[in-house]
Amino acid sequence: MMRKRPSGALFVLPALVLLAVFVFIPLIGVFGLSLTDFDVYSVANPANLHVIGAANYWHLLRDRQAWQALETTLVVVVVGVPATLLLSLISALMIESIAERWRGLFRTALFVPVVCSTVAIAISWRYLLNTRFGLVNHLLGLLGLRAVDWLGSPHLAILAITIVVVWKGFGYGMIIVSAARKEIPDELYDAARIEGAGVPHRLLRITVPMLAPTLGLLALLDVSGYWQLFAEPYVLTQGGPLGSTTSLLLLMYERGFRWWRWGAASAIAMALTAVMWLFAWVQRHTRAGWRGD
Amino acid sequence: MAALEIEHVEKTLRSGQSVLRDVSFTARDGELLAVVGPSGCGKSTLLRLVAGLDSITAGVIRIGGRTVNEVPPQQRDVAMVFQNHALYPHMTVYENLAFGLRVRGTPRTQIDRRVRQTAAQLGLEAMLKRYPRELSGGQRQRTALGRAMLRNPALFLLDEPLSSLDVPLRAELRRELAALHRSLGTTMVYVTHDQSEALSLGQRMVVLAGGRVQQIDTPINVYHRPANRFVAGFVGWPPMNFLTAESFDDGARVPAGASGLEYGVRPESFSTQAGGPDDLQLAGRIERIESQGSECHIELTQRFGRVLARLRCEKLPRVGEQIRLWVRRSDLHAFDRTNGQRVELMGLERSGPRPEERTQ
Repeated sequence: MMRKRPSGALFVLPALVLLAVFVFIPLIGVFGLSLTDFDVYSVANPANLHVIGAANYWHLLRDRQAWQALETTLVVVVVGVPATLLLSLISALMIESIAERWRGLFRTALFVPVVCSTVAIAISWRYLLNTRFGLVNHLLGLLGLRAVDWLGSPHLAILAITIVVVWKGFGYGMIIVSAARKEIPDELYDAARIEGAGVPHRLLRITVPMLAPTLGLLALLDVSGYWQLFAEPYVLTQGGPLGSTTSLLLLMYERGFRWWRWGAASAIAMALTAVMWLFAWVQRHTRAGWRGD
Repeated sequence: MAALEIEHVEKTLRSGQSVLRDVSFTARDGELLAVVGPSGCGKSTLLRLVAGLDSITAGVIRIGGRTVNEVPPQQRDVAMVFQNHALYPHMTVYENLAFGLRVRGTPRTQIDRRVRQTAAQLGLEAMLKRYPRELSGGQRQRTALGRAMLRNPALFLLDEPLSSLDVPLRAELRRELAALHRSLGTTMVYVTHDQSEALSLGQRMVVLAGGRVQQIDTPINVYHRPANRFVAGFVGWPPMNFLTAESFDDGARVPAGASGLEYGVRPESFSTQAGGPDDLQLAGRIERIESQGSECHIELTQRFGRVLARLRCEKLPRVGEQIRLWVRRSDLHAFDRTNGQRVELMGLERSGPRPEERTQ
């Protein structure tokens, strides 16, 4: 048994204070707000503030906009996360196979979007995806295809946004996968070659399973990141057309800071938090059978 | 089953560094050939070349009479056991064993039968569902061996398979390996840096240094008739003493030879009593006595250097005292000072068997 020492508590205290100020207290505050009808009128006159219990949550359940935002966000997560992982994996393995002196260049080029400002990227993509003057449609035109209204069509806009999100995100995974790939001993590949495993077998039976723990971690990071999708639709489409690109976070932002309905916005924030907790819990309890030694 | 023939094989790295120079030897069909040398001598490279994991710069490699220079590893019909096992950590013992058969599309029932048969042979039946990290060092090595055995290869390549194990386990597995070789009858090339392992396990041994073959012979012949000064110093423990004629009391009586000779005496060739009139004498002051139990390692110094002798511990003088030692003239090895090659001293009966007397 470890003895509890006051000095230990002192060491933990700064972190606990920071966590409390920036996480726990706001969380409790938001939960409190979500049980009220706090809005711009309540700021003017506190008498307008009423505790309404779970009403905000009940409204949320029957709110078509909220369900649509959930669906939009889920599409980005369900399509975007596997796409990001796949691109991270493929790019990491491809970069390894090109000549050493070009490797740095390609790695940097693919990693640049990760460190760029999301807003700057979104604006650049708005130009690229412009229906009449955009490079994307120009290239499609060269292939003899008709121009596509990427950001103006309710069906395509979310796809365009997913593309932008994946494009910005996969470079990070590429670096992580690259590092993990270097940890796989060459001897395993030598042994597999002697045993008769060709390239596909070595990839699917050695590389991918050996990278599984890393890919699992990346999946968790990507899910939590994409779940909080905000800047891309905010800049590219402002949530349109017809609300088709309004993510949960964007919806929360609009309710809270555009319409000043902080009670309702807080309920969305709490729902988001609950889902994130669920993800974390699932991840903790369903770790893959194989773990690195 | 197949013989391995290596003819004038060279390996030069892209940096221009030469790893193997004009290496030629043959592992006969069914033979256990030990390749031994200090680290960096090119022995692991040699094994990789035979396996097809690296390509040779020049020369010919034949397995079972077939030239395999351009043949990819999976078609060479060889199996390799790696120093660090190279077991797939994400697969169970069963899956590790079955891997080679699976990727070759062997029917499931046949895989199952052969995996279980091999596991039984190696005492791994109870381990089939475990992951490599849950095995002991010996079990891991057995799994690696089993994986190699499963495909019934024509040739086994073993790259320091026991070096990661502790000493008692190493001895145990060495015995098992020898027994396995007897029962399988497959040609094995066993690479090691441990000369004692090569001496005890190999039917013949290839001594490699600086990328060149130094000697190829049976362990007994390599020990008793080392081809050059390097082999003499490398094979045998404690290592051979290298002396000049002046080290002996009566230098003139040291067997004739040109002035440029160096003499080698194995530590166990010394005796505290004269055996015959022809014996050479040597004296020195005891610097250190190290008991090994049944015998003692005596380090003595004289004007011309240090000498290590292996003697029975009884009736030894104490540290600091003088000691006189005798060596039979026939136990003397002579090497040319300029090129280190062995020089046969005329008219001497060697104590070890000559090549034509050797038994297989």
